[in-house]
Amino acid sequence: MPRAYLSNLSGMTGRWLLAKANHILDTVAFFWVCLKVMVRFHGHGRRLTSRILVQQIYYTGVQSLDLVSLFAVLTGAILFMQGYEFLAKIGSTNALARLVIVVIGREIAPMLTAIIVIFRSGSAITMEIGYMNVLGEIEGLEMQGVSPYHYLCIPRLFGVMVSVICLVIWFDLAAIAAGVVTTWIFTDLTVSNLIYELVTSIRGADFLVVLAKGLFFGVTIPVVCLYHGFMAHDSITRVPPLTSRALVNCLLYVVFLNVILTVAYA
Amino acid sequence: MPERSGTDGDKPESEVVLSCQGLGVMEKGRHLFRDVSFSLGLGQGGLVWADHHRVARALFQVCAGLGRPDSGSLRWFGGDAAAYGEEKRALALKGRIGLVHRETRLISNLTVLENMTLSLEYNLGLTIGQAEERIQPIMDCFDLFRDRRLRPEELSYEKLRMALYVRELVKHPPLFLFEMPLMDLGPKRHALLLEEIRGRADRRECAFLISAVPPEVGREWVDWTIIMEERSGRMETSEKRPDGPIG
Repeated sequence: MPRAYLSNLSGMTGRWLLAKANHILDTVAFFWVCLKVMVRFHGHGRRLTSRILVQQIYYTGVQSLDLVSLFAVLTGAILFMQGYEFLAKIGSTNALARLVIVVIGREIAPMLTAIIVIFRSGSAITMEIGYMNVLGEIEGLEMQGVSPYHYLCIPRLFGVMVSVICLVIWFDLAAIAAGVVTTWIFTDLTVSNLIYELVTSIRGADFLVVLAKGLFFGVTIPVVCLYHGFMAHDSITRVPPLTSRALVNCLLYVVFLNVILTVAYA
Repeated sequence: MPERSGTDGDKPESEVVLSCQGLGVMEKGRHLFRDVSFSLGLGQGGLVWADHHRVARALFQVCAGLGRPDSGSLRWFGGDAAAYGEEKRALALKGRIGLVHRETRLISNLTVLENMTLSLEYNLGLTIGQAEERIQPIMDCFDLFRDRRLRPEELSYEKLRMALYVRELVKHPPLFLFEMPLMDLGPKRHALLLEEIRGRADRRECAFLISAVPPEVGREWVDWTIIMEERSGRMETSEKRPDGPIG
């Protein structure tokens, strides 16, 4: 009996792993198709795709600024205060600058920005493409001689990518600025010293990590969301569950990539 | 087997816009139609009458390259399916066909004008201003110019369906496939639309295939009729327009 149970369990685990691997490979293949289409249809409808690119940057980047700024200010203020209190107890307040650069700059900013973008824009992208697919609008695009992958995917992919990179940098700047102001108001640290330490403790690798995470998250989010959107072709009731699955998968991939990139640059 | 009458076999191959040979489409294990053969030459109009609404739509979708037939073969502008196998060529072919069926929709997140100019902007690289200037007369003619800034959900049903036909007209494709335009537009606008495409066909700018129920309502505009009864096609030549299908 226990042997049969174990055998069942291993079978289930194997099938689950295979399904996950299959899903990841499908998503990567979708990304590859997008890149191929981008090369093949290079120059087609440049004005049109540029307009959609700008719209996507506006929806994802500009319209998320208030939310990202709020999260950045709160996180920066809390982390500077908590970090100062903890380091003061062990007499290492001079490590505050490096601590916040690593914690906020390299970890919290890319992750929180990615989460905000996943829930704001990722869901919108999956819903939009899903409904377009189910309602036959994709067929309408094809009949206009327009490549749906080129017209729908490429501007969204680049729009989200550029927005995520910019938002991560903005998050870092806003969080550090808020942290410095909070420290200036509530502690006896000299602001000029703190700013000097912040500037001198930034390393080249910090820039690389921020850019790499922004780039990878910025590509992963639209690719996963677009892929799930294109999977909805049977009925309209398939769109909400696919949207929810897209968001969960985005989160999983982003966390997984975050771990890999953190380890790679540690 | 379809019967052919009034053939016009001396027309050159390049003038044949669409030809089907022994075409058959199945749905859920049953034939929607089979053994349908016809040729549509530049300047010709055909009418499809089918005993089931899915039949004409399936025929038009296959003829527009949106699906593969289960049997038979198709040729567009002298090239077979293999000639349009590559993605870019397949899209270019679809861009040369104006298809409207009962489930065709405008892109919902674009305005009416953006829907109309999409093809011109994407394929010809025109700016939206240039494209608008080019399509204004035809939008005016179909009373859509005032509604050009509206989104599809803001249009009345009749205007929405009209916009679909105008979107295809502004592409100036050499082949139109319209499923039951009378049901969408009402008699007045239907006549306006068919006058427009018949005029283009008479100037040898295009060919067209429409479906109608009953077939009498469209016969005055076309050269021949395919009656698709009991899931196969029988061809009749229109009495008013004696040019039959190209053999």
